[in-house]
Amino acid sequence: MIVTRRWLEEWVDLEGITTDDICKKLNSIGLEVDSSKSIEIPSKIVVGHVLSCEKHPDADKLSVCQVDIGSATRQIVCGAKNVREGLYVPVATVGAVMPNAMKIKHAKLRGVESDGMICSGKELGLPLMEEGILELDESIGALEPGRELAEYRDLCDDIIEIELTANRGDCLSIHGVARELAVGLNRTLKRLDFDDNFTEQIGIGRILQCTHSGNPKVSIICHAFEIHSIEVPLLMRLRLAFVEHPFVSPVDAYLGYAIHTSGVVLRGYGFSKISHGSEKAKLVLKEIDCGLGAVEFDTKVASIVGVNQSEEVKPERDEKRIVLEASYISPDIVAPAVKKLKLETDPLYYRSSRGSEPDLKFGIDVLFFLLKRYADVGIYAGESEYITEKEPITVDISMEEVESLIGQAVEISEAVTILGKLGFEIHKTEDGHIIADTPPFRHDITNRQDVIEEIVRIIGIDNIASKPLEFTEANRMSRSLVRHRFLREIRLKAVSRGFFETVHYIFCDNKRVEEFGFEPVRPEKGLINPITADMDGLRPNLMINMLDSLKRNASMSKRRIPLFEIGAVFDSERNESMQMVLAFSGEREPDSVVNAGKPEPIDFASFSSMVSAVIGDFDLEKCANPSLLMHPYQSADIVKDGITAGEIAKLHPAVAQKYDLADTFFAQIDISALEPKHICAEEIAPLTPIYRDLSIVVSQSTPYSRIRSTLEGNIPVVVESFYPIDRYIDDSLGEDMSLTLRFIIVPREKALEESEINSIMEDILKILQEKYDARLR
Amino acid sequence: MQNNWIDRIENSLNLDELEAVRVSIFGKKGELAKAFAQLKDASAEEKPKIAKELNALKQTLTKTYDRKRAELEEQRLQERLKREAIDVSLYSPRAGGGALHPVMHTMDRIIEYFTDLNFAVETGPLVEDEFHNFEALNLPDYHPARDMQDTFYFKDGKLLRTHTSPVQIRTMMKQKPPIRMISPGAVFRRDFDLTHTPQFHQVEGLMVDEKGKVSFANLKWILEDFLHTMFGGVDVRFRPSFFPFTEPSAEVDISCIFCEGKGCRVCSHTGWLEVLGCGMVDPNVFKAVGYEDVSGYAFGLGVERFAMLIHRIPDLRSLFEGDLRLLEQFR
Repeated sequence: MIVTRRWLEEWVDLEGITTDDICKKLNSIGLEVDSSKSIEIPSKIVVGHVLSCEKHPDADKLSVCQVDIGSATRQIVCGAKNVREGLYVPVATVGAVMPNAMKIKHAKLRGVESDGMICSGKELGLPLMEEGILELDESIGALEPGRELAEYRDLCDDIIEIELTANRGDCLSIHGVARELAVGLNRTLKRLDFDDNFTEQIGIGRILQCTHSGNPKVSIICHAFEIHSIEVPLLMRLRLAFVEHPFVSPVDAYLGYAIHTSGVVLRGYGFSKISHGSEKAKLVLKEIDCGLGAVEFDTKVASIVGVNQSEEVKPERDEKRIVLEASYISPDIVAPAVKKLKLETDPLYYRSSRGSEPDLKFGIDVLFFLLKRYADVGIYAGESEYITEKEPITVDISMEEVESLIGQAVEISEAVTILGKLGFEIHKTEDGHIIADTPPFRHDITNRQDVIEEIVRIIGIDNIASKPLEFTEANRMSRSLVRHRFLREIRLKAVSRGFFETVHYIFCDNKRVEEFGFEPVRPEKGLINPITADMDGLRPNLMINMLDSLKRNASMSKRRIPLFEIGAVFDSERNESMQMVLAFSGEREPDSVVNAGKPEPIDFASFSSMVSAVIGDFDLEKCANPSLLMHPYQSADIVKDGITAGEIAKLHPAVAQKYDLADTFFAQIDISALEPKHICAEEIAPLTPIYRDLSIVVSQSTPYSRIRSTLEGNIPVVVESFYPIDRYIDDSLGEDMSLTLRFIIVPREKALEESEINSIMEDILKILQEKYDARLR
Repeated sequence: MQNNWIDRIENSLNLDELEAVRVSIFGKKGELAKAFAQLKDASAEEKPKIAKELNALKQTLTKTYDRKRAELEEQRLQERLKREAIDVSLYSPRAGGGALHPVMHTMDRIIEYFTDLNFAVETGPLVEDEFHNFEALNLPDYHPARDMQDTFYFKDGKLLRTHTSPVQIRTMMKQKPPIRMISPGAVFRRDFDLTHTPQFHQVEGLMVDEKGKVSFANLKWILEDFLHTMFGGVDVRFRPSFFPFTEPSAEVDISCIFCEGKGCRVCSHTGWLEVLGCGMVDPNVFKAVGYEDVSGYAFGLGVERFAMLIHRIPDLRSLFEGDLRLLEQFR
């Protein structure tokens, strides 16, 4: 909503209040000022009167004008098409500096002397109104040649743009904003000084017959007028340009100006369009679905009240007889109806859906006032109306409740004053209660808390003293908080291992999901309105979007890219779960003197050890079902405490190539498999552990995980743990490999003799011989 | 002879030489042993005198030797230390550790503030239904406020939550008052330009207790304290505003941290930055969850906005691009 200071001043006295203060006040009462700017016309630009205008002898498009600028008559060459004798125009005299910093000098144009410049509105810093030079008229004040344009306050207006909240339809007009300012500044709202005793003697019934069928929940008043002559004065053109309201014809401009002033929804019908050549136009207001009302003629719909109007019935430029309709429909009726019936709407619907001004008479008066002042029209006597009476809402406000909600006491007299100025009708005040009707133009006020909000905003929230709350202490360590803290620990561990946290959109490209063999969300549960075509799905895992970040960094010559993310992923049924991804692309460590600037590339072993530093120890099993993102022979399931908790793999070389990535490894972990562990300490064995290595030769096709599970449970309890420490292959071994395992033997009650240890190791070898045909190397 | 021995000890250049001297003097067959051996040839009256002299000499020599040895050991240690010298400046670590994402880190800080003030943390699903996301929050389907929230819908009528407020509804429907909670998390709106991403993060708070217990003054107190904790000594301003789920509602501004309120590009020359929305919970919301005779406040904020202001991050979209040139700055 755009307002101007001068336009507001027609409704509220702003004497002695700066525009800055107006903005501050608007902000403090809940009308947020988006921007405010002032039009400043430089000095030495004056009113000029074109005394004569002749063609330039040497240039088709130029005119030579004699212009009276008060103190003298100047010859000025002008290139505008609309310059003509008798016009009053802005003249930048020699020495003036235009808003674009151009300095006006004496000039010779194609051999003809020119002393100054006749200006367009744009050259003065005004918004675009029409092509050519600005034609001045007395709507902005008396025109005296030589008078500085900067003295015309309607030209040098201040323009304030307000960001209205959705409930404040009542402020979609100059009058509505002025009404708020009057309350905020404690001034009186002006009334329209209009004597409507100028109607012609012919009654409206001679040309218009209005009937209705059913009981639409709307209000309509119809008038009619004859146009003798009509022009749009500068003041109106200027202000409509300030508030960015375009118009197609003079009647359209007057309607727009009256609507923006009053907030009443006004529509014009061309009489010829709805009368079909007969002397009388017949309109029927008909109830349609959901309480709406349609205005019909010849069973054709001319408009739906508050919603739209057919192009066919709008007056043409040369239409001489106009039927005027002022209407109101409650937003509580029109908004759900439009949504339900999926109706087309026009720009005025914005007003009716947010609450237009219900005082229809006021809007009509504003329009007729303007027509009388600036145009030559004849208005038919009387009107035709259909009014849906609205029961006022009565509220009972207890000052005690006001105090408890705000947190401090408000004097009842102060509350009464505020509500009165806001348009409430106060019925009575007694025993700390105020009984009042809400204002008809505030459809958004329906209950006590709404009313308290009105009191608060006028008092000013900044005037409420803040106070700490007294509340009952309780254990509020919710599951989510415990979870958050645990995940934060994991995130910090990842950070300390050099990983950078990232955040990606949960959206992803369904084409990519399918390309990598994942199942997208079932179409029946898919997104209706993705924001872009390549964000039409929900990610099935975190790696799929991480690829883009890896690629972006690689393209920026990053040679070591360690990233991680914890976020939501979705299966084909759109079930949500939390995952963690750790991804590492490129060089294992930063290049430095330590590695002579040539760090090793990341490999499976070092990446796995980074992952375990983040999520704790785990076992790796060959991945049963590697996805297309994974290297089929370097991919594993992460088994944590017996449960498959995720996967770890080298990025498939084909994918790496597609995304221009060096060797890349990633691990995806199901967050629900990570739980803070409760640890019970075991007794520390008093004896020194003994290390024994065993090198065997077995078939290369034997995965270590099988050897591991064979040994687990089959070896004596004194063998506390074992793990592989070397794997070796050469030609002499053929299809076999040499595998070295290290065993840690912890004697329990007594120290072990060498022979006892040897016997343990022999037993182990025997198991491996039997199961895997292993032999000692 | 005595001086000769002392000189030999003193003149040893290193521990090896000293050891050779020690053997030659103190050894079993050393010169000192020899001198003691000659004692048996001395006369009876001279014997005690020579013995005394020899013992005194031995003591002097031992002292000299011990001192010299300590000196040479120290010398050897110093030499070793020198040998091990490195140019430490070559090893200034670079690109060592990683970093938390600035938005996630900011969210952590916000959560920490409120949990320290005894708020619970609650979470909920990203895929929501119209009841929890809109209707229970006093937003019927024709409500003009829904214009502000362009929503991602699914074909089965579900939607991606447009704010974390549905978590408040879910919590109120599960628990009895008093409730004191925040709900942090990702939210989604169909908006994608310089200053909007289709996904961003919010933290919303809710306090509900018996009727008359929770007031706007309490809401002001906690938000002022919170903003001072996050932004330091800024001015805080409350502007009346409108949200369907709170009443009275307010938007909260802080004085611009870039120009200190003088007016700059970031604050659109107003001197203020909008950072929070808040209000007293609308009675219709309490009605929707079946609460009676309660009072409460609620507030909500965008985490990206906080992170961008606190860390002066110029580009919102860069936060979702995993760009190390940005992330490495937070190491």
